[in-house]
Parts: sequence; structure tokens; C-alpha cells
Amino acid sequence: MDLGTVAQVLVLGLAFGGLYALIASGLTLSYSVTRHINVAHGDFLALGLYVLFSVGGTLGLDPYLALLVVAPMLFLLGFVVFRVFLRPVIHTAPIVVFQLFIGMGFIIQSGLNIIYTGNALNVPSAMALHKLHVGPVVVRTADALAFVVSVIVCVGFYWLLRATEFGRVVRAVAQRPEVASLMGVDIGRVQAWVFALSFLLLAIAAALSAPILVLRPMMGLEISLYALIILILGGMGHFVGALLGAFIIGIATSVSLFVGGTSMSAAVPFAIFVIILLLRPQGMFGAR
Amino acid sequence: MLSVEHLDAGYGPLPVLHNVSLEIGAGEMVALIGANNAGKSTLLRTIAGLHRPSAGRVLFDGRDIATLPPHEIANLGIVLVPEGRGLFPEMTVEENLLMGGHVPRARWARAETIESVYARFPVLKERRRQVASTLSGGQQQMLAVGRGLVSQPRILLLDEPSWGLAPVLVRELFTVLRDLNGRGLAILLVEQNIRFSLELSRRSYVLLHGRVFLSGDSKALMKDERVRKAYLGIED
Repeated sequence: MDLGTVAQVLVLGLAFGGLYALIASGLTLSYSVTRHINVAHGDFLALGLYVLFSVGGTLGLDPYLALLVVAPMLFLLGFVVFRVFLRPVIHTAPIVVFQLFIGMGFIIQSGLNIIYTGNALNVPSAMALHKLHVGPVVVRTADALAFVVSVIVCVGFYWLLRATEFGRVVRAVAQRPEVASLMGVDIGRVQAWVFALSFLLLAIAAALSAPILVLRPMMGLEISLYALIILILGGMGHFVGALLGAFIIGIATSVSLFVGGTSMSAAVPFAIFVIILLLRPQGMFGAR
Repeated sequence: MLSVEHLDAGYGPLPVLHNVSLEIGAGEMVALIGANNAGKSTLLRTIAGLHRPSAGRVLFDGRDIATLPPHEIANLGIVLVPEGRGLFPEMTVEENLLMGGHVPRARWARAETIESVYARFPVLKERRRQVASTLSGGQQQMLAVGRGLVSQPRILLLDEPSWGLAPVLVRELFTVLRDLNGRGLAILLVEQNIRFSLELSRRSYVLLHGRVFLSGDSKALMKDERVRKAYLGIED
């Protein structure tokens, strides 16, 4: 195995890792302030990808540019999903909310199936075939871009959480919602904003992954499952844990894809998940 | 300033408070004492908006606030320091204080009020970068009270501030509360420590099984045999 191949596998793994990080960090944030898991998270990503396909196709825009249209749309959708669907049932049993999101996921899947048929689609992008040459190493530009941009976005989000008034309020709601409300925090508003932001992260992930992925209406379920295991691996609601988990799963996916093809890469993240959970049932960063 | 009128409250079908009425004037220190499960915490939580009463009114400056959400009540200057202190455990001392000043009425002067809390409790300044859960019990209580002060209360509701404190720290807390009240801050103090609260307050209410059983001058209540009985949860 030569240096070029190693670099390609690594960069693909980092690209996957970055995309998973965007997806899972949004999920972990929305979980931390609502204590409910959006199990349709991956389906909303799929929805974002198809909208990107249509918007890009209609306006003749590259997915990277179509993001400017799709990002506000998904942000707004996140707001609406929280206000209209989650908020009325947020104090009911977790299983009710679980069913709600499972239902939304299925509706999205069949909706996409009806509109776009079940055939696999590619989002046309000038970047799809573009390659970067760094000395002897050749990597796909889209992979490198997915990694670099998602890391920048995640660092930005980390800064938002650690160093701004909004971030402090989000952490307060995650740690002690009732006490936060005693300090003048409108919990419902914070939850709505965080939900919308988690959808904004999905839009960014959609644009970055559009040149890499093949679109299928059912793809969301698999992505939700990956995001869920990253959420658990990182320690439920732990932002940095989710980022680390995302890169572990991303690189594992890429390596197993290279070694054993798609039949192996589908199983490896789950195998890692089971092994880490046996060693640390509370996740890598979770408190016991 | 604050008056509770004929308040009923409970959790689902379980009633906790029955026809509770009490009043706190501006600058007054009033104690609310009673046994466990007498409904003291429920009353404070209802005033702060964490709990909806099933009947009755909570008037603040003559306005009924019983149906307002807690974040709006906080902004009127009613500040609850909750049972068990309610610190944000993974935040630093300073971040906890900054949260106290998040409420809009207090945010503009937040930097100065935090400095004045540091002046009152120098140990908090020394430990301002330390995570709240690593503080000792006494320091955590100082932080909880300090955070309440950063919210610029017009009335401070304290739920069992002496909880978990060594006697020497209870005395220290006593001095702090007396000083705050001396500067004109109204305080409604919920305590299981009867002596502490009767000594500190001018007037007291004694709750028994969710009802106001006795009320009046704290000095008089100190000699009243029925107070001890109520504390043990026994009716005559």
C-alpha cells in the first residue's frame, strides 16, 4: 500500500468524520436541551440533500452555492418542527417523542420516494471529479473541503457554546433547565433556537456531502443510526465527545471501506460501538 | 409588596397547599417554618412560577403574577435560591454568577454587581475559574446566595439555605442574611432550622400539612410550645 492510497483513505475518513461531526453535534445539542433524541435527524439531512439537488438543478447552482438558499430553509424547518411538533409533547414520555420522530422519518422517506422515485441520484457538482495534487498524494477536493469546512464550523460552534451569552444559556438549560428559568431564561425559546441550529448544521453537512454521496430516499435511517451511536459514544449530550466519536467512526468507516468494501464498512462502526460500550458504558466522556 | 392569597396547589391529584395566605412587606424578613412535607418548598416554587396554583392569587405590587412563567417573574425582581442550591455544576463560579445576571433587569449592571459579590465573598473571587461542583458546601452556598444577588432581587426567596452546612457556617450565613436585610432587601426564608429562622426574622409563618397553622411575631413564637409540635408534624 503506497503513500497515496494511505492519504486517500485517511482524507476520506476525515471527510466522513467531519460530516458525522456536523450531524452528531447538532443531535447532541438538541438532545442536551430537550432530553429527547431526534431519531429522524438523518432523514432531515436526506431531505436537505434532495432540496439541494432540486434547488441546485433549478437555479443551475453548485451545491456549495445552493447552500445559501437551503441553509435558511432548513433553519426555519428546524424552528417549525420544534414549535409545531415537539413542543406540544415535550413533557410526555420519551417513547411518545420517539414515535413522533420515527413517524416523521417515514413520512420523509416515502415523500422523497414519491417525488424523486427510488432511483439513486447524484447532485451535480463541479467539485465531484476535481482532485488536489499535494506532492505524490492525490486527494478528492470534495473530501478535503468536507473535512476542512466541517472542522471550522465545529470549532465555531464550540466557541459559540463556550464564549457567548447564548452558549452559556444553552449550557445552563442543558444542566439545570428549571434553575435557568429562574434566571430569566425562556427555555422554550432556547430549545427552539438550538433545534433550528441543529438543522442549520444539517444543511451545511448536506452541501459538503452532496458531491460525495449517492442520494437514496431511505438513506436517512442509516445516518440517524450512525449519529445515534456517536451520540452515545461521546457521552449523551457531550459536545466534544460527539466530535471525537464522529472522527473515530469516520476513519473506521473509511478504513473498512478500503479493506473490505461496503459490506464490511456497514458493520465496523457498530462493532466499534459495541466494544467501546463494553469498556465504558457511559460513553467516552459521559459521567458514570 | 408580596402577598399570597388563599393559595391552593398540588402535584396532579395530590394536594399540597390549602388556602395559604401570607404577606411580606418591603424590606421585611419573614420566615416560613414547618416540618418536612409541610409544603414550604411548594409555596416558594409557586411564587417563583415553577408551579401553577390550582386556586388563589400571588400579588406582587398589587399585580397578580400567579400565571406568569418563571422567566418573567424573575425579571420582576422575585429571586428564588432553590433547595439544594441549584448551581450549574459544570460551570465555573464566574459563569454561575454571570447566569444570575442574565435576567434583563440585572444585565446592564452585571459586571459591577458581580464585583460587589466578590467583595462580600472574597473566596468566590479566588475561585472564580473553578467549576462549581468542586467547591465546598459552604462555598457553594455563598455562590448560590451571591448568584441570587447578581439578579438584583427586590425580594429574595431562600429555600433551606442552611442545608448541609456546619454550625459555624450557619452562623456566617445568618450574619450575611441579616446584613442584606439591613440594607433593605426583603427576604422570605424557608428553613427547617427553627431557632435560626426565628432569631433572624421579625415575623414568621408556621406551616403544618399545607396550611398556615400559626403566624405572628417571631419572638413570641419562639416561646410557643405549639411551634415545636408543628415542627414535629403533630396537631393538638
